[in-house]
Amino acid sequence: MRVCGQLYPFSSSASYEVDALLDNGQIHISYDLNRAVRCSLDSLSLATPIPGVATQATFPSGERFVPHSADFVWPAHTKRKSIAKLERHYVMIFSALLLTPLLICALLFKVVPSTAVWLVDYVPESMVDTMGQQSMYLIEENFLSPSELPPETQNQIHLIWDEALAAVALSKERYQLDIYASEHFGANAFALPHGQIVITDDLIEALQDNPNAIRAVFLHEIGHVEGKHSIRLAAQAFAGTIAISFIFGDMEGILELIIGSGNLIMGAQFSQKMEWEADEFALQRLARLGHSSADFADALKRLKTLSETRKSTSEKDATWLEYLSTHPSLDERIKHAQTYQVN
Amino acid sequence: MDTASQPVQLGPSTPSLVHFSGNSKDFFGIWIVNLLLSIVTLGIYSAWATVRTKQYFFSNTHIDKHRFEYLATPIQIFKGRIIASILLVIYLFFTHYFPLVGAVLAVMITFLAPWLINQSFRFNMRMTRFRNVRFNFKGSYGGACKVFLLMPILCVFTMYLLLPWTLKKMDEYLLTNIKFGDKQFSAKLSTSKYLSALLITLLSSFAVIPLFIAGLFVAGSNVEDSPKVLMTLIPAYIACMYLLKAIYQAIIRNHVFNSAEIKDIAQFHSNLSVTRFAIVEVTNILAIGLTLGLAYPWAKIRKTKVLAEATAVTLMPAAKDIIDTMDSTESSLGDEASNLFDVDVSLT
Ligand SMILES: [Zn+2]
Repeated sequence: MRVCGQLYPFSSSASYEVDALLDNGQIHISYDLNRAVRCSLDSLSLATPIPGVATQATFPSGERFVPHSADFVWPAHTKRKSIAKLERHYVMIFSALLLTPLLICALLFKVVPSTAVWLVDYVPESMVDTMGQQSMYLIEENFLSPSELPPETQNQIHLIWDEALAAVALSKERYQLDIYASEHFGANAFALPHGQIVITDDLIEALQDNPNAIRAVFLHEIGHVEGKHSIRLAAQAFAGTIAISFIFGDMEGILELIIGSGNLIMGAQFSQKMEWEADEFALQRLARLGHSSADFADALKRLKTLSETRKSTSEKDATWLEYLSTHPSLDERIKHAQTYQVN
Repeated sequence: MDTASQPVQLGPSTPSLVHFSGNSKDFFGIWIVNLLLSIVTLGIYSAWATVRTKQYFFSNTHIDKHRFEYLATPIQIFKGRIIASILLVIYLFFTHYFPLVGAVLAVMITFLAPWLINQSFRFNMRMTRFRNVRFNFKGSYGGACKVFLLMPILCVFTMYLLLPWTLKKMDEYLLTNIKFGDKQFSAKLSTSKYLSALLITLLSSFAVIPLFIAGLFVAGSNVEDSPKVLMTLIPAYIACMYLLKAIYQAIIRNHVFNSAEIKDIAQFHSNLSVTRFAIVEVTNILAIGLTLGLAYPWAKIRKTKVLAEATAVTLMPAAKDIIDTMDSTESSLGDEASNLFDVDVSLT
């Protein structure tokens, strides 16, 4: 058999147009008027085949031979299984086409979140504290200012807080309440992982006539801390980023964008789940303390009217955006709180 | 044994076109199968996938019947990737859990960046071979620091007046430190070309942005919350960015190629049409978005073809006497670390 191609002598930029003779398990190439190279086909070192790429052969003496045709298959490669054959196999390509999106979804929506849940148990207490204090420092610097409520109102709120804490048998050392004014957060309350809970002036004003609702909000926030939600969220972003950059490390920007937004949607969904968990915590404790679950529904309803007056834009066609936002299904949550029964 | 072959004659000073022979069908198979294997092996196979993809593109790029070769082994890439992943874990760990320490780390990475850029560029050059001769990169940390750190800072303080000069210096640094075997690249880049490329891009953006805003008004009157607007806004924004980027890149690519040479060995030519390249880039990105990524192989092959067709190289007779003087032990750490941290440098 005669195979035409290019011969590169060892360590020089010269090259020769040659015909390789394959015969009796031997390969023979003569080049440059009177030079020649010969060896057995078995002692050639062949490059890994790739579809559409001519497979180069290197002689033991260092010369390299590249066939002109990408379709030429070296005898040693005809029977062996190779990745190149899979890459050409229609069944394989088709199943890869189906499996790849499925696996990406499974990875983002199942593997990464459960890894995060698993990771959380290994985060030491001291680290949780540092994390919480550092985040609080950044939040306080940027978004919070001292409360403008009269001292007596503040005292009242702290009283509700102390009562709530005592009622659910949690220590005052672990948990701490702070009241701040904040334009950025509006009427809001949030929990930091080390047990610090922040409630804003606006929210207190909105719920002032209803101390039971304030207690329900506190319990919800405590639920976030007890469920280690912010650490789970961080662990989640952490695991997601690592998985994505490790698996798709060499992808170009746009694919990272597509996969990254998948990660984002998953993150939002994850914290939606956390809201439900915190709700569940609050409702359970309220029931155990003999309070009505309607307290919590009241607080949520008030929040809803607040957010509606705040952005009086049409929410009718916000169906898919709902999936993205953190506090979307307020209606559902209100319904859940109203119909809550201890099981 | 009858045909005594002839050495390939290099006609003096006739430019030869760069030819790309890859096709979407082959690459689609390679891409999707490698993607699946990468996911199934939890990313381990991605080092092999990277090498196969690079080899496919390099080997299908020819000048005068000679193809480029990508020499890195999957193990090299894999080792680099492991180390880079560990660094990334450390970095993410601190930014997520200790934001203040994370900020300090970010500053440290800024000083590490020039080294990573050098390392990555050097690795990629050393792993590229043409006609039995490998490329190399001789940039120093000091040199990289100057162009990638000091000059950009200076740029900010002069209200970006120095931007064209800075961009020129970056390309010049990368280009003139490349070696082909023992021969150094040289380039005479001009700041005014960079200035005009920037101005043309800026003027185009003045033309594009009103179009973009008009499109918004057509799509929906409510700008803040409507998901419809978001659905058109993001793709339109990305398309605009790709358009502007393509305009700038095409102008600069032509300038860089046409001013680069290896003395007595080779001259480079590029006559990439700005409109053509811009159209290709925008339609590519839209196709990728619409097909949720499936059009990626087609788009990448298409872009590579357009770039290759616009490129030519004049090889001079002395090109056949270059000696390769390199050993093959080389870690890809810089390459991978800079990939993961997204310090991307490209000579388009
Ligand atoms: Zn909550």
